[in-house]
Amino acid sequence: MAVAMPSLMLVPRLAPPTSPDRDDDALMCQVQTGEVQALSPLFDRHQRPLLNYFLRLGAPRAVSEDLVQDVFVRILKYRATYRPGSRFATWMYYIARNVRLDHLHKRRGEVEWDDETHTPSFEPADAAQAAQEHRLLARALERLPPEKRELLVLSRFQELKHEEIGAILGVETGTVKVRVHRAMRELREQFQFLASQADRGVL
Amino acid sequence: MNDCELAAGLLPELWQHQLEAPERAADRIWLRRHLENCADCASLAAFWQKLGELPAAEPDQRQRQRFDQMLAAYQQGMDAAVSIPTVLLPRSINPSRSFGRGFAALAFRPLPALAAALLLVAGLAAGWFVRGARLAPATPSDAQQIAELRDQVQNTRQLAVLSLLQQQSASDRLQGVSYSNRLQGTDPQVLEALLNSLKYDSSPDVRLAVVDALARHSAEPGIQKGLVDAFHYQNSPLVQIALVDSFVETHDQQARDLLQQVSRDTAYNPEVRQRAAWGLAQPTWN
Repeated sequence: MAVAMPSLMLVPRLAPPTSPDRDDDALMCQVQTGEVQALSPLFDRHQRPLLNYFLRLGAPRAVSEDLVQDVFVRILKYRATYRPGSRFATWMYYIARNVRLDHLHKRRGEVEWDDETHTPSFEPADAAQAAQEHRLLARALERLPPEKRELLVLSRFQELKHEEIGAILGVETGTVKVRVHRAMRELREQFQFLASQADRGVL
Repeated sequence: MNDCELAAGLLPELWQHQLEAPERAADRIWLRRHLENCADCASLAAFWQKLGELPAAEPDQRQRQRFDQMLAAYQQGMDAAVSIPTVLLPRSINPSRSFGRGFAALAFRPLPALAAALLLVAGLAAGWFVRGARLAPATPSDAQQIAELRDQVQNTRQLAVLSLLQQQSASDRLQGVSYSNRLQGTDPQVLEALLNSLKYDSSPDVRLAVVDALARHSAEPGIQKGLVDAFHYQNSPLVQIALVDSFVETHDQQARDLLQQVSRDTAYNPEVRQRAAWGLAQPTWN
């Protein structure tokens, strides 16, 4: 009779790749062996989430587009460091994070990113109330401290698992969970504050 | 721990669909009941949903064109790298000049391990003296010992970088470039090795990484001239563009002359010429 193993022992450090992830992995392995054209489908699949990653972290549209290109240049440049069998998206966001930090470092002392003007333009056509809610939500996100904002962007919008975020940020999975919960509470407070301001006609 | 604190631990798992697994049924049912009875936690759970409804921006079609151009330039650089006769490469990256290829591969493999060991020793030694410095106030002789040890650590790191830069594997050489960024100060030998790699390394990846590494030292004597000289050795438009970008940052007169020449010379890749023209138009030169 088979003995059930404790579930923790069966769970790999990072969740097993799902089907699209396996495709990504196979393509990246091709890139690694010199078939650089295999990067094209990876670009098609990931350029949108990457663009939104930079936008949601406050980068202007033009800068975000440049940073997306930089990420793919670095993917080519450092392709030897990709570990076959791992999740491509985790590795990609690790690179994206470094691209963004390097950009901020280079631009230190120059004009800061102007969050308000560079938030993705959300214009739901059908509901004015939804549009207002989205604007307030985007502003609430902008008001979060950068590290909390990054955590929510990775967790909610880029849909990375806590383990993967932990690997990218260099912290324990449990710490990520606690921080995500706290960041969500803070975001809700910011949103409620902004909504009350809007109700009073202040915004 | 009250129920809301328990829910705080489960909500992030709910958001990531981790409670959908059959073995988490008990947690899932408990959380559902809690959310039915706790308005605060229920509102937070709903807020996650609302956050996900934030619309996303769509990429521009030009992004794809830029990507294709980048990839074509990269491919072109790789093809050119493959076609370089190995006899033109210096001994450090041309194993066939001193060994048979197969033997060279075998002979070179232990060196990354040696370099890694050197780095480990350097790290341990660094940790030792930092810890020692924290534990006790330094006397003049302690200070001298610490200074000597620090020098030894630095020398060991330099040795590791120089060793890695001469490996046959491009990923080892990339690692060497990466380690060079961690060296404190500037070591003329390391800078010379990096300039040599920029001119002669067969891998465009390594050369690109070297451009980044050397850009940090552009104020050092000879580096700017070395970068300008190295431009003429490049066959990869991507590396040429990276060099143009580094020239714009340093706004050196020699580099400006080079950019003027490149922008006019039709022998260069159109992307490179365009980048050179863009570089010349930047206000940093004034």
